[in-house]
Amino acid sequence: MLLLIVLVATFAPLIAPQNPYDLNAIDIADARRAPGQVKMSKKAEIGLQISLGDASNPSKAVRATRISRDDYVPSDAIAVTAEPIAAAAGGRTWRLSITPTQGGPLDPPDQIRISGLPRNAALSAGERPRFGGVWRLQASDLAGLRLELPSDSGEAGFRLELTGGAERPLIRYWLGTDDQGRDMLSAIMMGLRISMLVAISSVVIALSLGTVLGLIAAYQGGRTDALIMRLVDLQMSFPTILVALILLALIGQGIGNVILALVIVQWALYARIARGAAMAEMGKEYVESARSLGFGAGRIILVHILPNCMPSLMVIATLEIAHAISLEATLSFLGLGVPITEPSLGLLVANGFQYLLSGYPWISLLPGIALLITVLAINLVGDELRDILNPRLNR
Amino acid sequence: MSALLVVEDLQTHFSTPAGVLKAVDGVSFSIHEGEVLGLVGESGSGKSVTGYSIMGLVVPPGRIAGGKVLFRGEDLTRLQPDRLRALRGARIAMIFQDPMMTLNPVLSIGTQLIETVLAHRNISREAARKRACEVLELVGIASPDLRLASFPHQFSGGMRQRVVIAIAMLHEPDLIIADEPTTALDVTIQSQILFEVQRLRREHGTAVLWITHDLSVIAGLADRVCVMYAGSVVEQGRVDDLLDRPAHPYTRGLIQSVPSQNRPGVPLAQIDGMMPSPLELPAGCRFQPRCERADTGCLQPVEWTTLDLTRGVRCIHPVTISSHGSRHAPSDEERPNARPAARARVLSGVMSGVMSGEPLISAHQVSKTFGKRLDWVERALRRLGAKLHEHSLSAVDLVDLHVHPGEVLGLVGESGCGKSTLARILAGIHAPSAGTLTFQGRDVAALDPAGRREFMLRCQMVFQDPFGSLNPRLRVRDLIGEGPRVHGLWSAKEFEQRLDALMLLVGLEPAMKWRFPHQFSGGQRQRIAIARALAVEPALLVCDEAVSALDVSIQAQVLNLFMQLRASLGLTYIFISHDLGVVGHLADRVMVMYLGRVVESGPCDEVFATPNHPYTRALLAQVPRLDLRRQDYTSIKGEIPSPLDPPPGCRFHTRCAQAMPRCRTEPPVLRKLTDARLSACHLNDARVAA
Repeated sequence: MLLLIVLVATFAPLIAPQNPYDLNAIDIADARRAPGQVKMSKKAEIGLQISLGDASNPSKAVRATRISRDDYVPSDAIAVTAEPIAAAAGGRTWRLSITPTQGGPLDPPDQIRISGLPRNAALSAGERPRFGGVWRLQASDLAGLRLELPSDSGEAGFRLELTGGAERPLIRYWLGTDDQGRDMLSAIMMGLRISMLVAISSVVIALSLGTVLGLIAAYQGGRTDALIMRLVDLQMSFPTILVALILLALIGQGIGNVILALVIVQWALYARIARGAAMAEMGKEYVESARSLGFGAGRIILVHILPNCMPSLMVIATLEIAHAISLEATLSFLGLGVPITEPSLGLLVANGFQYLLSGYPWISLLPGIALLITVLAINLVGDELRDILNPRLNR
Repeated sequence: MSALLVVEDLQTHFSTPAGVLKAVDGVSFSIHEGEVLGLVGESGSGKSVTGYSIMGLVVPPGRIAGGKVLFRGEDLTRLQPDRLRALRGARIAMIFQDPMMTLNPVLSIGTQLIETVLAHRNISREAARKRACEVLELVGIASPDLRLASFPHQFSGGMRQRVVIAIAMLHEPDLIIADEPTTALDVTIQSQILFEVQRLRREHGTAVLWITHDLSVIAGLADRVCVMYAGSVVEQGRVDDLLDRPAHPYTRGLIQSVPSQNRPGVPLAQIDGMMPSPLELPAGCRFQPRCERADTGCLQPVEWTTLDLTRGVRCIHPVTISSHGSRHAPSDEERPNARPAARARVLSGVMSGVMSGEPLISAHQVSKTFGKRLDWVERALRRLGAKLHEHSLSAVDLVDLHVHPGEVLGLVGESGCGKSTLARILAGIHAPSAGTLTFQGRDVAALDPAGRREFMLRCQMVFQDPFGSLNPRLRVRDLIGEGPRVHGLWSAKEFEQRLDALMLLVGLEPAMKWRFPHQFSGGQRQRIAIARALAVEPALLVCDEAVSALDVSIQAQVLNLFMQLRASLGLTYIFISHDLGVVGHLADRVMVMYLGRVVESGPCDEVFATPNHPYTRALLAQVPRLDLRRQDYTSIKGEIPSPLDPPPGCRFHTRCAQAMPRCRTEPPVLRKLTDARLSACHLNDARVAA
């Protein structure tokens, strides 16, 4: 299980459905969607400025000027024609025909808005405007649409905005979205990546630093030992979260700073264990034998003592990775960890916290479950490691 | 005499991933009331598992797969758990090897005793406490009501074992099963314990099943003996019959391997090979791969042959029982007490060159104290009134020593006498606190780094514990080859050849050089340690109890290896042991140490034949000997004092039967008795003056 998690974390940028860092891909309109929903593509839209010819010079020419927005819909996706019909008393009646091209991007039509008509103009179908003069029509209203213009209008024109077309499914939000519209699955994958990166690098650095100090303390003994061990005691007497919080508050956010804070908080544990293991090993006869064979201190420490201290250190380190992940999650939850644009699991939990009881629980719950599974997997591996490494030495 | 315990065809199997391990495969014996049965075997023979099976202490993955254990007619293997629990502790008691592990370190011994009493008897706490005091007096612990409140770590090893025996005796059981109880104890303490056990047996009529690998202890204690090999009994009989006229080839080999049974200086009769692993037992007779009398008939399973009323053997070619015994049975002139002629014959070549010439290494008034000096914080605290003392442990006190090239010096003493510390000083691991160490004529302390390195390489050490003295993470190849490689003694081209040659020299197959230490047996590991020491071409080899952790037959093999290496490489040895038989076999000269001081030294045969110092005499008197049967052990009184607080004056005076008032105040000086013998005792002055 741990292997799967590590693979997911490493290749997350490649396999995540949506890149949560790409602000263009995120649509706030998709916020807080339930898990399993599909994001449908927006309907195609086109806007045209139609101008009708003078009544006295009725021409069939309908000039259409495009005023669409960015989504590219070709101009020939729609055909707008207007035919003058014999006017009733003084007015001019046009028969409008608005037809999207068959099979084109605007087929079938959905919503039509017509605005900019002169004051007393009327359409034969659709909703009358109350204020602002925007007529709303449905697709069914397009059949037999007639426009009546009052006689005193000159050059008439109106603005036509039509949305239509089939909706394509773009992306399925397997785990829903958070309150900023990010796909949770992608966010969790990337968050996992950050969490594991922070945890593993902080543990590796703390392990190296702590082991070196512990070995030096054990081998030198005397004052050096006392000094290093007092530092260790000092370090361990502070609550870890408090120290991490204060450090991060001082040096600011960022992944590098978080790693630094975690290293400072953790190294003491490894130093103490390394020293204990080294002192136990130094009392053994094979170290005396190495000394009597004339080996120097460096060789004895690196070749003889260190490899025999590794089992206990490795087991503790594996378990500490889990601890570091939790710690980092806590820090991010409190807002002092990684920045918002690079979410880690803790930050994801923090983001969704306000919605936990408001009907959108998945925003907080799902990253929390991912965190739980990761920590569990690491703990299981640590237990296995302990079983594998110990009996061989007891033989 | 009725049979108290009858074990019939007991089988105890362990299920392991590698297969079913038949630790005990068809063991049968019986113990009568008041009898002492010795169960003898080496490690891996299944003797301890037999003891546990009788008590019902076998836990999964082990189980009793067959057979019966009849205790007064009741089959212990099929009893209800309640009934078995009622028997355990009350009628059958067990004593284990390591008293520190048997006793609960966080409970006072009073608690442990009283809870044992109350577990089987429904009496008041006061009455239980009285019984506990009674039984502590019984085993010889003074002022028992005060000692009840002490904890196990406040007792010495021998006292702890007495407490364990006291716990066993609380309900006056009919049978005591003792699993190697004296193996971890010193000689004098061992004889005290044996004395107590004999007394208990005489006064209470308790039967004892004594499990051990030490034939000499059995010789003095047991009435009948059972010899086990690879999970089954190979011979049974009365102690005299079995030890003087062994029938099974293995028993005969075991007896012959004991150093005291051999002429000193001569290679010990050894049994080649090792006990087979219980997972790979040979077909037919299990001893057949190592037996010199084996033939094709031995490949079939061997039945038990009853030789007469009391004897039985599992062999189709038993050694003919005659009164002459084996060719190595000691005749009168070959007894350890009459050696001078024998030794001179054998070692004439070496002896003549030994006493002349310069000593290879000598120590002059060397002392070593381990102390804890107070640092400034503790000194300040002491001034403020805290009770902080400086401990100083004087491990070695004003020792003079010299060893000539080619000689073997034996160092004998019990725990706390400083022989290990002295060994490490001689090997260069510790520096002496006072005195000078001279190697090949040069003062070691004044050497430059290159000379010091040379000195350390020329004096190598072989340690006691074959398990702890090898780095478990290095392969044999690296273990042996690291020294020569780091110091540039072997060139890269010849490395493999020299490594192989060295491994063959110590009796290991070169193909095994890629293995790790945990894949070897104890004897093989000790050979690896010897090879490692030899790889840097030393002149002096200090062996610190190098064979003490090995079984008798393996010990014989390793001792023979030492002697062979001495002859072929011209090595000098300083051989440290608490086993006087081993030292007597190998050493030319011997030094006896007690609590950091040398009390006697001289040629080995002379010192053992006519010991001068009371301590040497006590040691020699108390060593169990194979030829003394049903020995009445006399105990030397008192415990070995702690080296942290040695007695003033002569350090032995607290235990000496002949102590004079002068001994309490004035430390005796080593004086010459004859040209080669030295002894430190005020009694000698009295004699000289007289």
